[in-house]
Amino acid sequence: MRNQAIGETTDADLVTKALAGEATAFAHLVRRHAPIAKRMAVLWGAGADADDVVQDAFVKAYSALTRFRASTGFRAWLLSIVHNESRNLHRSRGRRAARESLAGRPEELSILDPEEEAAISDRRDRLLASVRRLPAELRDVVTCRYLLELSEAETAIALNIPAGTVKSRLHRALQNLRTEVSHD
Amino acid sequence: MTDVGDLEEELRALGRTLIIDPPADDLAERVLARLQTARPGPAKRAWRWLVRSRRRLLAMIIAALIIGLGLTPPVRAAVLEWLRIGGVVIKTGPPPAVSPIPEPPPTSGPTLTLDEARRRVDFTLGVPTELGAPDHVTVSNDRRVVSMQWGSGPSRIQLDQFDGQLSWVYIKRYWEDVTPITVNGREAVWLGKPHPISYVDRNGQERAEQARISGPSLVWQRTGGSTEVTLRLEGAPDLERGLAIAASVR
Repeated sequence: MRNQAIGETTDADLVTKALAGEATAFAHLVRRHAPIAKRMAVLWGAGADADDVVQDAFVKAYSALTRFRASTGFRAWLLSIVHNESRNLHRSRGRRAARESLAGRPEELSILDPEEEAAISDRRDRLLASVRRLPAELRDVVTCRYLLELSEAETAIALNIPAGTVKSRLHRALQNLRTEVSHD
Repeated sequence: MTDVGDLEEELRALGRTLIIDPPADDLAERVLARLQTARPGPAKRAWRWLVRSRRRLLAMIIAALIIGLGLTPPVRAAVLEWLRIGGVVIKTGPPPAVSPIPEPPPTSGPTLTLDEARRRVDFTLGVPTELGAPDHVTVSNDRRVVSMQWGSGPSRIQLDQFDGQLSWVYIKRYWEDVTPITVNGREAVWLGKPHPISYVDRNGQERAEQARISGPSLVWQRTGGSTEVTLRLEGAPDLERGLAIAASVR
């Protein structure tokens, strides 16, 4: 996690500098937030286009920078753009691709540790499959809140839905997953 | 029945185990390149700013051509500018196949006293009170760089100071480890991982024989007398310690 207390330049300060015309500052924002933006793009099924989606999102963010409000948090605001870009990608790809999308396509998401106990990795595989089977609106909040570990407030901004809706969808999603997992 | 709290933890753990390739190494460069042709607002201003600074960048561009990224000149300018702190230029590049191991900085030239070193250079030297008097002080043969060292072996700390003109080129090969920070209200960077570093001489030539792998380092600027001095601290164990040392320079 970033440590503002020991002097690291804040996102808000970098945005202010970028607005004043410092390309340097915006480049720092790109480097700082590109990893999570890429993770989101892949989890939303961008696949091989993930880097392009992220690049497009940053260019759009720059064009819209005057509309950014510090209270939103740069990361969540950027991710809302990544989310929109991913949806545009699905539209342009058509329906078949859209079905494969969201929470990633299986071949792109491998589990990290080959040494891990088979039972644990098996359980994770099944949990991932259960997440993928969730209705889209529930899968979106689970992806943001848990797989990407955003806060509830950030999830609301990234998905452009009210905070209360995030809470209720998370609740439903967890009930849904809990039933599935315990039936396994 | 699975507890909801456990399930939340399990989902977070699942997220952390998903392997997703990091973004392309040159993503920031690509984005910057597109901003120059992007729509109104800040993009145009940034472009004007880059054009204005072209003149003072020229010498640095020549100095840094050695590691061409295959980019067009305006892009190259943008890349350089956003990674420049005083006399230090940081470049991105593809990550190496194996992690480089830092090599200790060479001790060159005879050991001088602080006063002797001060007489040999045109800028005002600072000394971090946090570290006290240095064990070794040397001045490079071309009288551009003053190096102070404290301790020995792996815990050795070195502080280089030089006129904030075109003196050094850092070649950074990791994508994620340039941390923007502020030292005394001015832009600075922390390079948290070992990285190749090389010296650029007065003629703008990179001195390959002086290239080496530097340990984590902090780069910042201060006004010393009538000149801008660039400082490069190598060997601080972490950013927090590095900042404490930097803040104590008098």
